[in-house]
Amino acid sequence: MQFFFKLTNLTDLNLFISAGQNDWVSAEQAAERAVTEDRNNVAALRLLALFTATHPPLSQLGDGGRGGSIASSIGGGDADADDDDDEDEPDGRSSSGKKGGRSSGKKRATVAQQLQTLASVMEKLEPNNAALALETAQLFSGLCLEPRHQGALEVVGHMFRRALDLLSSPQGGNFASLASSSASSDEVLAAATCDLAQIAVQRAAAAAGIGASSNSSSSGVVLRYASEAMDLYRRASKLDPSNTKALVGMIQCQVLQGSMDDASEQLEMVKVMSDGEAPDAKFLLLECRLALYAAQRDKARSAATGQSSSGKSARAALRLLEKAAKVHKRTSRAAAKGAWMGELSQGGSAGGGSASSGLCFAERAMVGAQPFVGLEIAALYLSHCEDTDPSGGFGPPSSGATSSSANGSSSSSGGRKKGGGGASSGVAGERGDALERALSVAKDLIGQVPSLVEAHFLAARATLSLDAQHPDSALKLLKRCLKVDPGFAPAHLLTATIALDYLGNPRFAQQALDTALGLDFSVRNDPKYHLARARVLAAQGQSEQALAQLVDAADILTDLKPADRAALEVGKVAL
Amino acid sequence: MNANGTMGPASLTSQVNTLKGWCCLREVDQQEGGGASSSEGGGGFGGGSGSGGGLSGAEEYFTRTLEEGGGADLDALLGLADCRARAFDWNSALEALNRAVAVAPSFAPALVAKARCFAGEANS
Repeated sequence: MQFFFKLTNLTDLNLFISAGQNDWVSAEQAAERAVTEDRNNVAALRLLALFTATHPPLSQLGDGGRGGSIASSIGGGDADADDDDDEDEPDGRSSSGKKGGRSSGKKRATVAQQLQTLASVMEKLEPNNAALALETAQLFSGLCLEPRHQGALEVVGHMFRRALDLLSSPQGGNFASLASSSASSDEVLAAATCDLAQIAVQRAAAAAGIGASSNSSSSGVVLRYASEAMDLYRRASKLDPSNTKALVGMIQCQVLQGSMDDASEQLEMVKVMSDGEAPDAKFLLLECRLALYAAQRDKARSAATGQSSSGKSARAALRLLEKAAKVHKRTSRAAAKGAWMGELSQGGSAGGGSASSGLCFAERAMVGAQPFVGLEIAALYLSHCEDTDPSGGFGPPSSGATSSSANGSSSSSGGRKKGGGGASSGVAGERGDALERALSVAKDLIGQVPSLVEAHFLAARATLSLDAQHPDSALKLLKRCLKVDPGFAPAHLLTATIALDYLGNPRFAQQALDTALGLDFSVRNDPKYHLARARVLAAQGQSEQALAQLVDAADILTDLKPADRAALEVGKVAL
Repeated sequence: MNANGTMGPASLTSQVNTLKGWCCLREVDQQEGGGASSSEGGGGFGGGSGSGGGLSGAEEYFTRTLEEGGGADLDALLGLADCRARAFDWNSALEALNRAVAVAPSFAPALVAKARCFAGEANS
């Protein structure tokens, strides 16, 4: 009953986004008018860039409002049934906005382009305003989380560097003393350096892929960014040895570099140094990642010795994850409630200048929401679930004992095929709870940042695992995700899996796989790609090629997560 | 002409009241930075004509200006909107800003304030 209630909530997601969207569209229109009147208005330009960074054009948000099932449209090979649905928009200010706004067909500039314009206006009008550069960079650094935002992150990094230069200069020194009576200029500089380092960490994380497991092989790109971040954190730590953000950042870099044991030792040291101070969500997540690593190591050791793993580390990791989720929720709420719209008067006679410092309520709430933390929480919940499910959550449909007996998690794969009997589609126990939590976090993220494709993708994965018999919700989320970023290969991959497992449409699955490969060649390094490709071949009667595909995949991929390895094995047996 | 040069002459009393209102808001900002409760006010610019400081004091000063000047003083309207937005009363803030935009349709700061208000409402 509780499960059904949660799925019903999921169907409200579109309404939830649209409700916030109404006001945002009105905000966008007002800001556009302000820019028409004053094309160098920093506050308006920043708000427009924020809107673009967080919201896809309205035309990308409709989904199936006419009642057409996406699954059936895919199954029948028909054209989209969900383009530009107007009917399900609630009444409100946005209805007028929809006609006049940029969403009405006018091509929207990208976030990177808008940030570039904003940066040049700021450099022209406020060449010595370190605070403005810093807070603008802080606002966008937390929002540009995906590989498609690399250009925007470049501009944000430039803003941070400019702020650092200004802070180091005599004018900056003045700002540092003005900004906070208790902070020295070195402390302010260290904090800004940490912010700049965070950009490199985000780039490394984006290169590694969302929810990348702690022991995943570190690619050259990831290592390069991690080392860049490490240098910056070291510099920050030198400037202000008491800066825990720098210490935690260094541990994060060690994790990205794969030095897990060193990271664990450092973490213990920081815990001792923090002297009972309540840890923030980021710190807890780091601890959780290291606990997950320990759990996987224990499991591997147990497998080698033939003993059963106690699962103590895995439970500890889950507890830490739950704690991190709670802390994150609490701090996000506090940020949203506590953020003030202090600079409403900006530009007015008492505002003092056209671009004095100060983020408005919405901007501060966005900074406080820390979407990247939520994204990591949802990804880790799902990763935990996949580690406890041998098929990785997306293996072949149940056909007898094959997938249901491997790890005792038959509930996730039973009755998965379209119209597949009356088997319970719900997922019970710890795994079900974790999935529901992942879904809840992802939903919150979508509400806050509707253009966050990775949140849609994580929500789709959680939805699919929770309700295997109704893949429509997952497909809707995937479709929305691909509308925002057609080059997001993991969504194509999951679409292929759904087409194959749930809709019985290998032709469509192959199409999705080809698209994924065409858009992102690195998808070939994902075992799920090979597994899906093999199953498509098998469905087309090409069993030998399918088997060869699986063997190739197993040969190429030596550093597999246990869940991925098990998924390959399950695939082989099924073939 | 008033301070913004958009309407007829504002009396000296109105100008002083508007200025006092903004001073109250600045004071609130400072108290907020220092950890004091901003909505309760902290005295300071409460001097004169029986108004207290803080948000309520600021709102009172702006309202007085508007009452005296026929409700069209742009500076006071922006101030009033600021007070209401700080109390998360988005609709009232937007009401004041709509009046401001009606007075001066091409005044960019009023349009920006309106945009920020809508965005704030979307996020609250």
